[in-house]
Amino acid sequence: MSQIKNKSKEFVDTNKIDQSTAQSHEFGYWKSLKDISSSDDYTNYLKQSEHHEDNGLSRRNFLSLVAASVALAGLEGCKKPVQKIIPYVEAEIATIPGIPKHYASTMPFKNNALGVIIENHDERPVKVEGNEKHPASMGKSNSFAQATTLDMYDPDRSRGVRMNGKKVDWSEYVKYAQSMNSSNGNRLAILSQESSSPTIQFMHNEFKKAYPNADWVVYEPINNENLYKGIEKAFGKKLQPFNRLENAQTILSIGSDFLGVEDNCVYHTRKFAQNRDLEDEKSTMNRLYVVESFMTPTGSSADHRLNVPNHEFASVLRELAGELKKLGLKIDAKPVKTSNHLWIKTVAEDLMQNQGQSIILGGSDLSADIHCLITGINNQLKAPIDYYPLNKAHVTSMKDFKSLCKKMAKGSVDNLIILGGNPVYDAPSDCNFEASLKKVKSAVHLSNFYDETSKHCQWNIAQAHFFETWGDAMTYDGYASIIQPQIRPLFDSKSAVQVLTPVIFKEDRSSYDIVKKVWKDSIVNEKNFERKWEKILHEGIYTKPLLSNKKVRTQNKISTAVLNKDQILDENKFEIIFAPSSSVYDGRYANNGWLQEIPKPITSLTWDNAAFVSMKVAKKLNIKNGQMIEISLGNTSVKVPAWIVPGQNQKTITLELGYGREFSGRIGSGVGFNVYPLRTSSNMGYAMNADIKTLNETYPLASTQEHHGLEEDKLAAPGFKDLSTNEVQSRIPDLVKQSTLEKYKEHPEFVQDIVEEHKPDKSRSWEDHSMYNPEPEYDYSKGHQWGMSIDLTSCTSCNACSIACQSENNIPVVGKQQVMNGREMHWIRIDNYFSGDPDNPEVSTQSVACVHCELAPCEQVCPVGATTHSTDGVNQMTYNRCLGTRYCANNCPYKVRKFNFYNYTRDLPEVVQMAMNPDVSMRFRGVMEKCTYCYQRVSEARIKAGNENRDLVDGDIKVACAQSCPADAIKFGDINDPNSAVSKAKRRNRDYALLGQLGTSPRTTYLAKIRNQNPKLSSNNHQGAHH
Amino acid sequence: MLDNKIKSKAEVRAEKLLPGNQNFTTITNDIAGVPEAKTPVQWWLLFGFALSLLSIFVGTLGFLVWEGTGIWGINNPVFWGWAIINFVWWVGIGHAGTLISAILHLFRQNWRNAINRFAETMTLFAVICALVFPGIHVGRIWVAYWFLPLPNQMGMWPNMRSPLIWDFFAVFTYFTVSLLFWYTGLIPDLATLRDRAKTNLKRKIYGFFALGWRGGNRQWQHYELAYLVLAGISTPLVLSVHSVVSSDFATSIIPGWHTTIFPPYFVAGAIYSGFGMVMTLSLIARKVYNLGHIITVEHLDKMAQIMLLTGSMVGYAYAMEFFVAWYSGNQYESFAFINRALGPYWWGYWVMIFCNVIVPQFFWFKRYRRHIPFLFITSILVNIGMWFERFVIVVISLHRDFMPGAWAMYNPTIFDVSIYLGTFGLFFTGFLLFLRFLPMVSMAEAKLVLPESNPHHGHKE
Repeated sequence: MSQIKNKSKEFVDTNKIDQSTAQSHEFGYWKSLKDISSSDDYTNYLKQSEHHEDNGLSRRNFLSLVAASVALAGLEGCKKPVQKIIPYVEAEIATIPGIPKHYASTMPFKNNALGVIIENHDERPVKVEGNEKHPASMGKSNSFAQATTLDMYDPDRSRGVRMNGKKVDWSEYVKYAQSMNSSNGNRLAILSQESSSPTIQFMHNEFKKAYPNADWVVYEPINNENLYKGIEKAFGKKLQPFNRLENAQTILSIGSDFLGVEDNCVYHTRKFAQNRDLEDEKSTMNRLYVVESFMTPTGSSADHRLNVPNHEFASVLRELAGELKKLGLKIDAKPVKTSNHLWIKTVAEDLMQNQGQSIILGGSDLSADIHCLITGINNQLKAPIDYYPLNKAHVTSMKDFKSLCKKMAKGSVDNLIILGGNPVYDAPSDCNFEASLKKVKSAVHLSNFYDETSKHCQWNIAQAHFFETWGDAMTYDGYASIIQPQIRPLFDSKSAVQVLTPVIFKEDRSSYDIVKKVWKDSIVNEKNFERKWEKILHEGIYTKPLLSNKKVRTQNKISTAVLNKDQILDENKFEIIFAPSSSVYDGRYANNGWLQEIPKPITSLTWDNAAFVSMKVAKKLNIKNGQMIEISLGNTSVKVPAWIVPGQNQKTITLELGYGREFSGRIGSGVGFNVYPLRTSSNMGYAMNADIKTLNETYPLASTQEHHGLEEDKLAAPGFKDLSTNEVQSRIPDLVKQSTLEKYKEHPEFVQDIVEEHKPDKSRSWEDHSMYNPEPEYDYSKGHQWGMSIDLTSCTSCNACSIACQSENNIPVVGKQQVMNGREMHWIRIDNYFSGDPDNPEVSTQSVACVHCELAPCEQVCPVGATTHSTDGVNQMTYNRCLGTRYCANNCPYKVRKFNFYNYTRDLPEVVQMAMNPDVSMRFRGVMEKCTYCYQRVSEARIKAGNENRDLVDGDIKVACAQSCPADAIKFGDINDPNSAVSKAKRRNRDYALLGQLGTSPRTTYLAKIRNQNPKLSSNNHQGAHH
Repeated sequence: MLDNKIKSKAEVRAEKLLPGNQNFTTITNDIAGVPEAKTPVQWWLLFGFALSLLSIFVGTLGFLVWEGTGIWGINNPVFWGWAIINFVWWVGIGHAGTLISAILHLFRQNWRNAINRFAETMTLFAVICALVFPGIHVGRIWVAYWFLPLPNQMGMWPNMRSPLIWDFFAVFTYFTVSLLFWYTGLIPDLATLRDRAKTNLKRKIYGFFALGWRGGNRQWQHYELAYLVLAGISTPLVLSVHSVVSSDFATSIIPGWHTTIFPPYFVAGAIYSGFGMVMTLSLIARKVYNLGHIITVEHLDKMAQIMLLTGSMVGYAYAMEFFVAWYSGNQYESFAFINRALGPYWWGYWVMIFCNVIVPQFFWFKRYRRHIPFLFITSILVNIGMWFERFVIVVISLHRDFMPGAWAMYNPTIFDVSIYLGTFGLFFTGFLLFLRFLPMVSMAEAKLVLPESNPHHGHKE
């Protein structure tokens, strides 16, 4: 008991500190390191958010209430969930302290689902992994799934139920919902997010039964409505396409970032990478063509990339259709010739050559007409796409959304229930959602945070994280799975189902009962339901798909006629693209420190969004990195800092959505710039004819990489500005070894061709002449020797590994200021290098973590022996012994060691501490840290194998990065076991050691990047890959 | 008449080094008079200034311990910044003392006698300033004692392969020997002060430290032998300390650090900067205390010659580094040096070249070697140049090493500056206290230059 008391006392203190410095993310993570006492920001914040003020409590009381509720919640969190959930693997009934349990669950994301396994330590979920049995995950995951743990333990989440800012009991809401005017629901509406949940569909049906005239509208700011409309135009009905990339040899993406932020990216990446897994020079691989206007991870992975502004995609497609017609497809198209003719012609030939194995993917922001044409061509190409029935009720309909807004504005909606989402922030500006919402008599907002929308709603209900609630979700191809709660709601939060039950059934029902009922009645129509139910919970997937794919045929003749009207860009005006952010998506992850601080692919930017401009435009308009520019569209304008990005189209400015949140808690509020005001319902994807004005002010942007290979060295001596650019260019082939498939076939051993002077003299190996290590201390040929292989051919730089590592290894978030000082802590950094034409560069990405050198330069120089080698070949850091001379980090040629310049975790709120992995020690200030090969997992597996009286076998140990990598580019295991996956990978002739000429003998080696360039294009489209 | 005109060799030399008909009494009066006289106002002003710098040092140090090394500008990849630059710089300055005392003593260069006490004291305080940094630049200052090979229950031992440990021992050894050497040299002078002391307390304190010195023949014999032995021990240290310091860099793998030329080049640079500092200090003391007849232009000329020599050696090393980088054909090595001269910190490199290579070339001309204002400016430029040399080595090499993905710029913070300024407070506080309480020129040794100290003085030649 006394322990509990102490704990809650501590809690009050922590909370006082972190509340007082909320929102000061610039200096530190949870609180400012410099400015502990300044609480002005937060006071203002409290003033702004009326619901905090109106409850008649003093600020002090409020804080202590919050503190107490967190404390109680925290204690509650240690309890087991009430309903029976089934552990994934272990059979033990009792909890053994220190032994984690794994439960299967599902991460819902819009109208898709990702099967996950959640690692629980002492009934506390701390790590998300993909579920191997789940078809959309296949054991892999993405950065959003990896970072969701931090969302769960976000201390800024909404708590309980509030009515006009006053904290009320849930029963008050139930009473309110029961009393809702039920005259057929004429003046009642529900606004929900996209969902694939059968239970939500059930609720929808029940809702419609209870209130036949009420609206249920679905809105997502980033949606596939145009894709579905295009498919409807082509096939006569809305269907969900499912791209079977495993069967695609030629892929053409038209503005689709299918390896990045587009839906189903885990599946896409996994299956795309599967066909790039080159065993040797005799293997084949798929070929990716990308047409895009700004550099995306997909574009950077492309074998050929065409840089075209979005509004010209139609003309590219028209030309392509013309070529395909020539080659025999039944398309109504005229031959066209533009400057891109050779490129398009070659792509057309390639698509035709691989007919049945070729596919065109269109970006979700393309028009319905373009999607219609793409769908038609795909149909003709016999592209490996399955079409599944689409639950139209639960995808975005802008028409419905707009008419709802109109209704609201007219004052004809009395009760509005907003189930998640933040439409005040992210609705198109012409919908005037905020003004309309104010006309609603009584609005209910179920949300994670007290956000922009909550502010205008009378009822605020804390939304349960999917770790906390029962639910279900389904993949595009109809595989349904259960969302199992891992923990009791920390903040008295509720799920959408719970919010709806009193409205529909006029009584409070648990989501467990409803989910189970739905599954019993309409999904699992089998005898012995209970046993089946347990099995589904255990495995995390119901193996019978609920949907079957539809045979489809195009209704009309495919014609390019619909595309004949070209959009014209006025001179000196720009096309603006609204792109989802790879970090915060549409703004929903704004308060997630891990995602905010992860360097974005291509730009390496953290903590902010920016307007991406091409190098030429920057030169023309005299724009520098971080320079504020004003972008005007009609009467609306926003000010955004610019960032120069290679591969950006000269007619295009890309704006990332999801930033500039006003009410998003202490991490996300005020980070970046809100560009939604420019977005209207007619230009959700891109807008034409924007004006750009260069402003005379700059804004500091935090990028983790200074030199990407193309930018000038502004500070260099006069006349030598391009010195370092040339140097980086000449280093790229040495660091990221690469070739084309064609050249690789001619010269399979090309990775051995290192620049002459780097070649170590075999007769005088470095070891023999080392002053340090005349003879190896260990015999590395014995026992388990850990090693890693990273395949640069399949890596898409998606960041999943880096966040997985952060989650597994308790890596602190340091804040924008520290990132600008070059002190980010990520153990895995992803280097991006550009070469060639700045408008269409070749991108070489490389994820770099400690490579665990057998002859490690860091180990020699540590004065206290804090970094040493283990007998199984791992370069280890002994945090307790480290005194922080930082000599090891200086002497590391890979610069992968990270130093705790401050005590970055000192002020971690206790709730966030719950997200930390108890198997990994937190690092104090003044100590060095780096990749450990997830040694805690190695030890865990070894102990387990020892208990089972067996030796470790390949696959027993999954390190966090390799486990999450959706491209399966990372292999880890015992290099002394010739049959291990890593040994096999290292035996490939593409295997090379990074900076191997230094004689460090790294245990992590890379597989060279191979681009499958089309010989017809490689000469003039790209410069040769291997210099 | 003829007798008067012909002077002995000793007399000629004495005339040159100690002009103006000086004898034992005048020297004792002039030198011992300084600590015995009333404290001059200038001293108080300087001391107040030094104390305020010292308080900046203490304040920054406190903040550093409280917050962590994050208050400095260091980052990834530049994990070492001003702290290490200052360490190497102060150690370098500390070189002149031993060189002047020991090596010139062994070579019987009597012109050193006017400046050796100065130089040795400067060495002591410079090494103290230097020794501050290894202790405070670490991340966890409270466990800095882990550098020491202290037997403990965990059986933890320093990693003797680490150059930082060599460094630690080298500098500590140097400090210990320098202290002994300085103190041994002080003993006869302390006895003089004891004998001349007016108050009982002074007599007791000076007497305690004078170790019962009576100036007897046997005592002088022992003294000379001990001094000679210490000089012998110190001499290799002059070469070893900075060689070992240089191995912090030379044994590493980083281009720009990984060079075998470092040990001799560091030693030359150290002597160069040490003489620069001795010059600065002696020019000030000479002015403040009117000691122009003891620290003469002849002494300054000799020091300038040594600065010309060592400055040119350093210049040669700079050139040789470039040659080797080019000759090696190693891309990374070559770029490290090109980046020094032409990269974003090019100005730092050219400041170094100007101060260390170009400026001392004026010392080919006697005019400049004896031009006091010129010497003063040069002596300061030398130490600016030598600071930049360490900046060039530490920061420019680190900020762009092997992987461009990890390249970054380094920006010092106010706390980098304040701790550096603070060490001047430490240095000058110590030095001013020395000037106040101890004879700044070795009386016993200065007298050796006089003809009277020649055993044959007074006898017909």
